Amino acid sequence: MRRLTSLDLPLPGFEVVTLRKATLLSEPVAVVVASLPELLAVLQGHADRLQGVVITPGAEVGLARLAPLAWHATVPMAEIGSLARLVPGWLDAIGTADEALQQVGETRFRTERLSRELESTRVGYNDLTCRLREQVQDLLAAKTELSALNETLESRIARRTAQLETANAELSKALHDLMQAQAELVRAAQLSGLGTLVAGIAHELNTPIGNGLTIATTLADEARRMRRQLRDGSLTRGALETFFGSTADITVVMERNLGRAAEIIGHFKQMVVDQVGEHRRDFKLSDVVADTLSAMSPQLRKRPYRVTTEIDENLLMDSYPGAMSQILTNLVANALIHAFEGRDEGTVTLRAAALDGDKVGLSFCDDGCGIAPKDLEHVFEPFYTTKFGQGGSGLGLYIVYNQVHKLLGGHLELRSTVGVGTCFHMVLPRVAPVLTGEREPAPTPH
Amino acid sequence: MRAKSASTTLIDPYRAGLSLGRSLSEIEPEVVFLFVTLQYQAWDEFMDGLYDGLGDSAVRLVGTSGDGFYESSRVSDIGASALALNSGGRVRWHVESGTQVGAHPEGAVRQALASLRNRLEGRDPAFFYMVSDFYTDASRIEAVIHDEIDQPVVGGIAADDDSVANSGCVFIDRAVLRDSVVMLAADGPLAFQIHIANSIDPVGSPGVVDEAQGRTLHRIDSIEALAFLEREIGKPVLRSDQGILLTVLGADEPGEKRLRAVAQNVTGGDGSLTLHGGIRTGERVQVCVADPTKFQDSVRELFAHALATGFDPAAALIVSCAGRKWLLGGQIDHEVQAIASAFGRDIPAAGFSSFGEIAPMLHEGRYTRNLFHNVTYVVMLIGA
Repeated sequence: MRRLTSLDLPLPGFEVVTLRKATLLSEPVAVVVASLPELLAVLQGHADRLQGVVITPGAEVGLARLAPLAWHATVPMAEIGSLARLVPGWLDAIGTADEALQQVGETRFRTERLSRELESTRVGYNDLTCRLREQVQDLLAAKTELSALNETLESRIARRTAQLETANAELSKALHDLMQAQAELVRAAQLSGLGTLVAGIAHELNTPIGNGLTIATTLADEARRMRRQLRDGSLTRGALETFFGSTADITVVMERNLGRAAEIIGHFKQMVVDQVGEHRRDFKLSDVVADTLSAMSPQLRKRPYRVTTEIDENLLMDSYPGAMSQILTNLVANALIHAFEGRDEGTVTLRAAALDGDKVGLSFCDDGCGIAPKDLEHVFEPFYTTKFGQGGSGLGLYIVYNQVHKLLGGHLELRSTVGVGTCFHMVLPRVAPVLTGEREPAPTPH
Repeated sequence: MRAKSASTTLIDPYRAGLSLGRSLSEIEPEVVFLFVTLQYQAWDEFMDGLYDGLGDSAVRLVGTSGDGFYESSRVSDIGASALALNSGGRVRWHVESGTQVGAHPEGAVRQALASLRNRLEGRDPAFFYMVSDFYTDASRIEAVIHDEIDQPVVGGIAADDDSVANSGCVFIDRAVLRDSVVMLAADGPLAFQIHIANSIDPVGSPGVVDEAQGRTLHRIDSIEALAFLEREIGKPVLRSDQGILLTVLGADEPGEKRLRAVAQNVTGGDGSLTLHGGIRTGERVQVCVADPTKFQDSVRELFAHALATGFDPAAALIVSCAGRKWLLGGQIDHEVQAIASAFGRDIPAAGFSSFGEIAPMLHEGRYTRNLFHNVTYVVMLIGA
């Protein structure tokens, strides 16, 4: 705190200076000047920033406030020295007040900041409170709903259980019906195979019986001609002998054709009995194969594909010839439908030989287009067919699989390479296992 | 380079300015970087005091208001600080301004830049320093300094905690400007280093901005932006929350990082968010949460790195996010004490608490393009 004067008059403790705004306003000052306007001119409108005491000579003692911390004192010139002695204490008081004002100012500023911070916190807190309240309300509503649900839960569970039991029963019945339908479809497919067999047999019979009919007609015509000649007396001995010669030749041809028909019918009877009755008996595998291929000959003849067999002629089996025939029929039919699609030649080779352990190895291979990998694992599933709507029932290989595994007691392996061909390898016991609850053997056909 | 810093908490504007000016006049400064808080409303008196104290009306001055000031001896919410430099005539200091930064941020920056380039007469400055009024989309300022200025730009955005008052100002010589940007160009040989530090940990999973307009972010990942934020953070976001940011993933060049802080007290009632800096639809963002416990470590590491380069600073200019101060409280002093701790001597330093920081990042020994940051500590060390 400085004591200054612009007067040329020496005042003890006062520094003689040229008055400047910076000097006057930098801290609390006591300044003795000739007149107040002189000082105000230096302050350039910032008199309210002045802190301290301005002393000017005057006729009488006077004191007036210039600014919050500045006073203007007028005293007679002679008294200025006396007044100057009061200045240190006065400036101390002003300095203390200035410090207090500084602290008040800082405190006010900090308080304003703090109140803004508190306001922000308050808003945030209220916001959080509102959101928590909404969450609590949501939870309460959920709890109420849960209580209501709990109250009706038992009856709802009972009702639901009853519904589930009904649904379960319906599903069980549906499953049973489905299984029955599946069994019926399999049976139908088996009978369909039988129908194919009958058609084949009928075709085979057509030739010998047709021949017999033609020759019998010729014989009847000859007999009527001879009778006419006998009545009108024109019959000659030579004509009679020619008639007897023709009759003998016709009889031979008729006997041969009727004999062939009888043989075919005999085979047919055996196959029908075998297939329909799951008849078990001793048989030569080569005979069953020959009969089956014979029955399928009408189908085979229409196609440009060959079926070759390599079968041990002495291979005897105690098993189910009907099932064997059905397996072969289905494999051949399957090959005709799928193996050679888009090809004008192809060969199916059937091999059978005795294996160790009283087993029989049977393989059925074609050199066709093979089975796509995506289909390979599904071909034995019932109703799986790539020819849906084109004649494929999806049951042929399913029946093959079941007959091999369930009836014949063997196992079946399928290998196929796209573009190379497909092979079904079967290993069958030469003597088929006795089935639980197996029926008495059907009577041998005569 | 001669440098001196000074500060005051006097509430009287003339006496505060005078105090600073007298202290700085010791080195006969060529330029003064001024940082003030906004309790001084009589700016003409403040400037009268400052220039009366400096005793030289030719001293160039660039200044800004802030949420507080930094100075070697203290960090305060009230008062003023300044850093004065005297290069002995080696550096010429050009200061220019651009107006209407709120409505036309790109135009304001280009206006100031064009005036400076006119002064530079084709020379490249060592660096630019810039301060801007807060009420603008700083990402639009970033777009200009990012793409159109090859030299480093350091600075920040002027504002304080009193968002209601909508107050902030920048200074050029004796004049106080509002809605403006002020830029300084250091024209001459001058060694400097720029370092930045932030401790931002990403949380949760990234999302894609579905709808945004300037600084307002409406939807992310098909939900309201606020709901996205709360989903990723796992807690309600309050208006008073600090240090929540979004980092923009992807599109940047190596070493660059874009952070956008969620503005305090301006969370929209419609579930939208206001950011310190714009964001674009289609950008991938991830929520980040500032970890104040790591602030001090990152600043310490920053100066350890600077020391290791062997750089000898004569002065330090600090621009530090106001959010860091709010999160650190009394520990904010560390951000100036760390300078003396690192270099083992007092170094004149001054700066301000900003609402967005501007600086390139140091990446593999080179500066990236100029970037706008949030919750970041920027220091420019000026060489001896």
